[in-house]
Amino acid sequence: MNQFGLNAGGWIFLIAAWGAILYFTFYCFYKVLFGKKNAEQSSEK
Amino acid sequence: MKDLEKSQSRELWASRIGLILAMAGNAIGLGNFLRFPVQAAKNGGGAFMIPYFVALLLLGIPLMWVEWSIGRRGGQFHYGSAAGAFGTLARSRVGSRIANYLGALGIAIPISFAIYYNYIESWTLAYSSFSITGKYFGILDRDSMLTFLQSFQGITSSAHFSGITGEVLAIPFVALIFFFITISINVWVLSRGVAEGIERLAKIAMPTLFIFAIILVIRVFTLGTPDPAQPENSVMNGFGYLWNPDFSQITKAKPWLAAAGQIFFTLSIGTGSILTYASYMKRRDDIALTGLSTSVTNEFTEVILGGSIAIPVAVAFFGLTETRAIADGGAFNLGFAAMPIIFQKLPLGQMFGAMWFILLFFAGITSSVALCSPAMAFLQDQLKMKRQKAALVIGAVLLLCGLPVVMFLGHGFLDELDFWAGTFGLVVFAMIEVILFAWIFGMKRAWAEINEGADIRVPKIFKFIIQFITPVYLIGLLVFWGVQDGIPILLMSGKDAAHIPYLWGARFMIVGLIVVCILLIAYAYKKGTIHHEVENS
Repeated sequence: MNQFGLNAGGWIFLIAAWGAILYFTFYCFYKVLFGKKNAEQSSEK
Repeated sequence: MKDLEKSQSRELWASRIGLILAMAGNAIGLGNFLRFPVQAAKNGGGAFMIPYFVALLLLGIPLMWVEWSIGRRGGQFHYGSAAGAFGTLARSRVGSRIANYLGALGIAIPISFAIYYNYIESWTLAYSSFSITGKYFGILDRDSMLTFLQSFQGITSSAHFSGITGEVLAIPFVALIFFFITISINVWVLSRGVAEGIERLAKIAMPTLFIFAIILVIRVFTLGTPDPAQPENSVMNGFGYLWNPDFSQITKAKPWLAAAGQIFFTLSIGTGSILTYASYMKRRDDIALTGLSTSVTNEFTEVILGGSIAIPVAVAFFGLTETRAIADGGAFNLGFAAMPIIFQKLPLGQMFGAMWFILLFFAGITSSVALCSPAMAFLQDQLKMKRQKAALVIGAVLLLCGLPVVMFLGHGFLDELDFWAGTFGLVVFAMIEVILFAWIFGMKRAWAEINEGADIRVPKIFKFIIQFITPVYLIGLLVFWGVQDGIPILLMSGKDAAHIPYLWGARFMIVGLIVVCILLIAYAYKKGTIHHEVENS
């Protein structure tokens, strides 16, 4: 088999994996950088 | 609070983002860029992501929280390694003593790992300079590039490198110089301390790594089909090779074991280094969100960045059949034999080659420093050694124990260390951690410990997972590995008789390091720097 590109299953797995990882990456860093505790620490300073 | 007073004399992280970058640096290593794409491609492509994410949820993230919790707790009692931190989880004096002696594994395993990891890391530093100087340029086939790598390692002789290549041992001069430089950088970072050394390294290395990786990913995406005469050799086919699911694979045990192994390797679980880094936190510092942040940063680097460079570009230049052969040859074949050929075919290849190997070096050094940190913490906290002296002692151990790795590489010395310390040892240590935490310390207190100061609500399902699923998963892994790999490796089945003394040498080295750690723990007890911190509350 010389050619297959990304088939439908490939796209689904790629998008699902990348989507989940990107979602959690942004979620975590948003909470770390702009979360409640961080805001409290900034206001204390 | 007595424990809080004690913790004030220990070093602390200077910032939360610095801690996340240092922990991410600990996790992000050579495996993210070399091991993961090879494992995924060989074990079902996209379908590999099913066992991979299952292992992440049932093993990786729970064990990560367990290790962070034990570390932060240990730090409050002035313990920076498992030898001491484990004892705080026990409910009796005898139990505490046993737990602390088991903690010897949490110093000996990571230092054994660091010994050979530093050598591999030094290859990336060497290849960075070879890319800049164009030393491997002109070598355009894989066999010749492998010969180049082996002559650099001293396994074969060639005109490229001077050194001694013999039946018994090899003394590759250039490789030794780079090994020495790599160890020196590790020692220098460790001697600077937590905030000024490890955290500062992470703040420089991690952003640089991300920038280089993103540039390389963009370059790969814009390659398309490098040779229009061979339209099947394209980046998209590379992504297809990596992502198109082969569901027949995941009905077998192999991809599940490979995925679990990859999760262990990539998150640096079971090395004791997470525990040490977490010991430099304050009692009320969050570990739930911070730990999760480091894990997702690692996954971003591995799946999105690591999965988009080496395999797609290899398919684009070598085609699918040869890329399969490269992947079957292992991660080093991909990183050190295939990639240097590809860089020669790209405009500005020397620059991209240097970026690739510097990226790998940064990934490596942030991990190797972390692997040395449990021993460093023990020398400082329990043996009361000054930081610079402790760093020099670790450097001496890395160099002295690393010399057999360099000289006997061709005899399988490194592979033997890798199996016992870097694979089997990690699972055993993680098993001890989770049993101590969930069953000896008690799941009720363990759950409170994880949630202490938490910035996110940890889903309650993880209480059940940590107590039951993760230990069973680990037992399953140990049984499978024991039967599949452990027994043949233990008996050295199929090994050349000439290599057997060297393999025994590697085993004696690990056992020797464990014995030394046990003796040092006994000495710390005598010195009074390890107490019986038994709580009943």
